[in-house]
Amino acid sequence: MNTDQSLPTTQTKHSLTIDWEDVKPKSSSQGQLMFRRFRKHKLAVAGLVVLCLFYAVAVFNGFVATSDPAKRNSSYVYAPPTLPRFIDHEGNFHFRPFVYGLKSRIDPDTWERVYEIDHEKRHSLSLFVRGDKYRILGVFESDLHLFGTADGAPLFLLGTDSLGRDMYSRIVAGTSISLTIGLIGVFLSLVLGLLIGGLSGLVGGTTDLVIQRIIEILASIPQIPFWMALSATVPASWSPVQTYFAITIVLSLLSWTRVARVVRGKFLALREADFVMAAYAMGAGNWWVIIRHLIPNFLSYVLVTVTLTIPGMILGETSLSFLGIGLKPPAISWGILLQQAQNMRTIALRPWLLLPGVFVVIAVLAFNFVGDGLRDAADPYTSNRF
Amino acid sequence: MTSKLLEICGLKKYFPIRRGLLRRPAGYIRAVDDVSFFVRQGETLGVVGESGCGKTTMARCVLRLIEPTEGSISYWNRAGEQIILNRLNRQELKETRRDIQIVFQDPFSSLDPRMSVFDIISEPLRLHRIGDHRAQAERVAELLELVGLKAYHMDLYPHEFSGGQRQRIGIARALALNPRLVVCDEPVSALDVSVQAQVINLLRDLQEQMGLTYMFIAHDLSVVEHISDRVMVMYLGKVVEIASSEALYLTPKHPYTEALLMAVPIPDPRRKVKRLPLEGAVPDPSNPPGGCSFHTRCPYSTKVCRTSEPVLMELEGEPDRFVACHHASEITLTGWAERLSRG
Amino acid sequence: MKEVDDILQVRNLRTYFRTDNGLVRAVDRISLGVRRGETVGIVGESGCGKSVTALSIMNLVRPPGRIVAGQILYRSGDGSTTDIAKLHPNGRQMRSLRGNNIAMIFQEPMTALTPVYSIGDQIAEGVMLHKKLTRRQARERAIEILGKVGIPSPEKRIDDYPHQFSGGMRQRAMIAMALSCEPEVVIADEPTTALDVTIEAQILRLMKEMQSQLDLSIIMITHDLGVIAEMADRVNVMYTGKIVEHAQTDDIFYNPKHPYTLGLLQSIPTIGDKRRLTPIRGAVPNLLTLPEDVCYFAPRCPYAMEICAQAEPPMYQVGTAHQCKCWLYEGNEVVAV
Repeated sequence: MNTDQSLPTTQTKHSLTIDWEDVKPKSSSQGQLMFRRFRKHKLAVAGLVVLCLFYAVAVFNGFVATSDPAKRNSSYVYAPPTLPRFIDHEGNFHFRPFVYGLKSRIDPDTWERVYEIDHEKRHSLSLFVRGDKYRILGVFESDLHLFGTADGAPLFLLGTDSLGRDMYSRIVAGTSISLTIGLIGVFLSLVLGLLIGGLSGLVGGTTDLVIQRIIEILASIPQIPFWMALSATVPASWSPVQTYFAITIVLSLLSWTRVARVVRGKFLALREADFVMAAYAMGAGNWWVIIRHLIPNFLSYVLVTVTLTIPGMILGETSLSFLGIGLKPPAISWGILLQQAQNMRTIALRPWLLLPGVFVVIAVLAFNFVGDGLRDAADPYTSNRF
Repeated sequence: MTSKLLEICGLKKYFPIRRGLLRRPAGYIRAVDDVSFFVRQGETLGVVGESGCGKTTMARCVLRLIEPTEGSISYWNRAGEQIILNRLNRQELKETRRDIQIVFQDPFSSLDPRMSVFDIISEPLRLHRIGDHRAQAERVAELLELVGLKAYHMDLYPHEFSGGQRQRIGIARALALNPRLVVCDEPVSALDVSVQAQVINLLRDLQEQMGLTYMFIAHDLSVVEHISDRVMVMYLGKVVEIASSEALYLTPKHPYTEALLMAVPIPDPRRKVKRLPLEGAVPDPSNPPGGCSFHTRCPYSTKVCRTSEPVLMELEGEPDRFVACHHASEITLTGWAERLSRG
Repeated sequence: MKEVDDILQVRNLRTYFRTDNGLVRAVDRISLGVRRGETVGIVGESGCGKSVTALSIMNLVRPPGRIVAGQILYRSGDGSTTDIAKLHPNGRQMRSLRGNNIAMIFQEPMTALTPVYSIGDQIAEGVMLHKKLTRRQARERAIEILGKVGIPSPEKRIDDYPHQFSGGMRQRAMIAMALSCEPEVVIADEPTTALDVTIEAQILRLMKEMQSQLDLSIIMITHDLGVIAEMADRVNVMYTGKIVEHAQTDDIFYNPKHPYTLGLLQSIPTIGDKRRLTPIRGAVPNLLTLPEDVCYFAPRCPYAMEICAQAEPPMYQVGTAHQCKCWLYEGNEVVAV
């Protein structure tokens, strides 16, 4: 082979220098990249918006609700939803939304109460009305509501239950328990999972073996019976707050295994990575490697797992409360609300009692979308090659 | 002849194969099996061999990234004292590690994706608490220029660089502590051909400037031959031949070395040689053949090769030339020059 | 380039990938021809589009990638010509062409072989599909072809699963699979890159033997100039999705015309030559950030001129069967495609 040759040169000077390579994009860390990739995931962003709304509602539920969720209206038992409208029964358009009042009578054949729209009574809706008193986060007292009837007439957007309580206000009130039980439960599983999974991955050997078998056993226990057994041990005399925490612990007892597995897996994989080897080679000890390299690198994966664990928790709480062994009234959660929809007759006659289930579905889907988006965004080596 | 910097004696690394519920070892993979050699101050010792020959495991044992099963690793420090690397305690080891560094093969996994280039290159400085932040930044800038990058690159993240540039960052990190020995584990195998040459040249320049000693591991015989003063050939966890790189390719003494030389495709269409490739594949390292481990594929093997294992010995009359073959003095093997002239 | 006896002719092929970050012109207006019984090499570095070229010819480009324009003309033994680029990727005609007429050998046999079927079943399946043989006949054919590619006692190994084979054996099995339906063209995409050098020599030798026995046309895709020198009759040098030089193998090595080809040759170390290497400066650019209508090699080129940053050079005829896409040869005859 002849490598000493050169090419013919022309009269023109060969002095052009262009450096496309050096036109560098501005520096961006993995976090920024992750955010950018997440933003491209439309469903995940939508899920995130929904979740933000839900949690805002969970915090300011008294403000968003139209009445006190515990207030009974004995004259409006099982009232159907009355949706706001702009056009009245004569076809006139009203700039302000309004609802019609309800007339009730007893059906002489079935002895059921039947509601009819009362076209005589038209209550227009307005924003920021005064109504029932409530507390925000249990501290700030207020009676201002996001919206309501201008004249203070009762408003049942999503109907009422067997005691004539407003379902809309109750679903809104249930948000705080149903959505936070997931968060607190997940935090507990996160702590357990990080500790146990980290131990398993770090120590290895027999410890790892034992922990892995325990995880396998726990993961193969059918969840509902296990939860039922555990919740049955919660004393009936406990206050709703105590029960709430007891249920959280019950839920997280099973779900930490998932986090632990991810943590262990990432630990083992990353420990073999060349950059970790390089750190050891320059004299780093275990703690240096764990804190500077391992944790930052698997944190995003843990975040993903955690996001995907929350919906399980929400469903867990809903199932337990629905079966009557989780939280108990007077606490309000979506599961407790769904208890009323336990028989076909109710569902057939009063389908609005199923509405809390719709909110469960929306919340769970939103969490799953966000989790998927995070998962796709978390891998530092996807999509930015090519 | 310059003095030794590193000497490995009887190094063994056996990995247990664990099976069953209790994961009892059911056998051992002899990744490195009784390897002895030395590296001289200032030279480049090339290590070649096919996958599974134990070259990477050997390198990691030298760096004590994995604990050897048996054997000793001696290192002579700047004061000329002999240090047995595998007998050091943690603190002593940390000190000695400043002198021995490693460059990895994969330019993607060798840099922590969540760290900026400054964090990556200054990590060894921070570990050994050398200098304050400003001094470290100056040192990082200096190192970046040294490896052909720009000082402003320190604010960027690894994913913003090409493979070759990342490899340069890896080299800068290895040089941060002014090491004496750098173990290069396939440093150019993952790079494009045109970039490979840049990194090879860079490594040569750095060696000249800083008086570095290299242990250069690769599977590409032409790369190893190009950069090395001496070359060590490994097969199935054992050293089969050590020689100066010139002697190795001109007059190979081990049949396996010959086979490697015959197998390399030559980038020259006028030298298409009819060659007889080696038959078969590398045997399973958990169940190596008895006797000479190469006898299953060796065209020169005789009865003695199947029964007794040859020892790595210095050839008579040829100092610095070690071969592990029963027939080293009897057989005449084809070297590179003859391979070319045959075409 | 327009030879009547070309069995395969690629004309102005463009395969683009529409990614989230922008359009990637992975293969951009390339033309090449393959004659019956010859080996055509495609050599280039990562990201030059050589693998996408292979997938395009097999019509196996998956979204977000798409063959945007161009022709891939296949002239079968009976003289009829098919434009592969116009066929539906999963259509009956394309599936029959694949395997029967054009087969592919991949770099990593482990990913191309299904782990859950035995080697014999995988070969027999293809044979049954394409050659309309009975199960028994197909099995015999599989044993025969495994023996041909040098697998010892094929009647025993035929029921082994891919993981029971060593890397070299797997590559042999894949070659057997590719050859089982007696294709006329075999596309080998880095067939020896994952293999050790002694195994590589075995496989290259096997491919040559098979070629002379079966009168195969081979498209050899590799980054290794050694493999190219050993195997190819003609070579196409690719850079950033374009063919920059095409010539007889001897001319590529002894009379390179494109600065990139020369740079590649000077980059590789040769045994016995310890002189300092002359690398190409810089790195292969990211296809996403490239401006259009320039010479993509200009930033790395020691011969770059003003015009290189202003316009893309056409393909010039620079010798007998030798073309080069470089402004240095302005004034030579321009090759029309």
